[in-house]
Amino acid sequence: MRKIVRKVFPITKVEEEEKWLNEMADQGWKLIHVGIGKFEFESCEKGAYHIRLELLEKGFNHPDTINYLAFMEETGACVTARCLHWVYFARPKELGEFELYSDRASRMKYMKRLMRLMGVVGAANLYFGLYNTWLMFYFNSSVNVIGLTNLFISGVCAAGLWRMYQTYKKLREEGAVIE
Amino acid sequence: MAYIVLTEAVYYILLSLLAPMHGYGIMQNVEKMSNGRVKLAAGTLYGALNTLLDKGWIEALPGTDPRKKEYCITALGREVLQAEYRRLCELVENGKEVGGVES
Repeated sequence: MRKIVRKVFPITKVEEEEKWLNEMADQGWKLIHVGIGKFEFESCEKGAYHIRLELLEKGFNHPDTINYLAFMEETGACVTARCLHWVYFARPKELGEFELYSDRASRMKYMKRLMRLMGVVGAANLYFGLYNTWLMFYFNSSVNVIGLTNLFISGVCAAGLWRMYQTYKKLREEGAVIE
Repeated sequence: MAYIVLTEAVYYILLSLLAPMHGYGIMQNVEKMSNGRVKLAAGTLYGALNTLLDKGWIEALPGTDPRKKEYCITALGREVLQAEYRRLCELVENGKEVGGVES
């Protein structure tokens, strides 16, 4: 049996998305497809899978990514869905705990990747937001919804980036005394 | 050999690769050696293996299934491992000598 759930998670809410997908898996729904704001699930044994999502460093068809995904598969984690540069891994719980990164250095490296994406998306939206808003005032037109949406998204990205940077900074400071 | 301090993950990876082993084997071996204390996550291990390959401390064995690559330590990797072992021994010896650390 399959079901589709429409839900949107901004890039600043990756942890919430992962938590929700694991709750779905615990209820017997394994993720099989992801679109923009759309998640498709297939019924499975309750709590059989652990789901992790990851922002890839390179494109899905890049040789480095293919090697990485083959390596993950060897450890029991298969790609159950993907969307743009994001992959969703499912690993049977019977194989034990499933984490993508287990030490400070690799966690910090991955956080940098996420912060870079938030920065790019935030900066692009800020640029278009300001441009569209300027057009609104220049032509004295009615409220420009697109411009305001761009500015809102850039604000969300800035807030997410700030939060993640605080965690990153803390990890870096702790790294001076503990591994 | 320049003075290098290894991370716990790298030390255990090099120690595991004294015998040829594939990625998942390393994860299991490290967990077993450390009595379940050190659990290497797949992404962390993959990144570490690539860094060690770049440094020439380990090598991928030819002819193995590309989906299940086997790795082994190189002569340079052994030197690094031995230097780290000596450093760790020094830490333990000094701890004992000062007497503030119970064995």
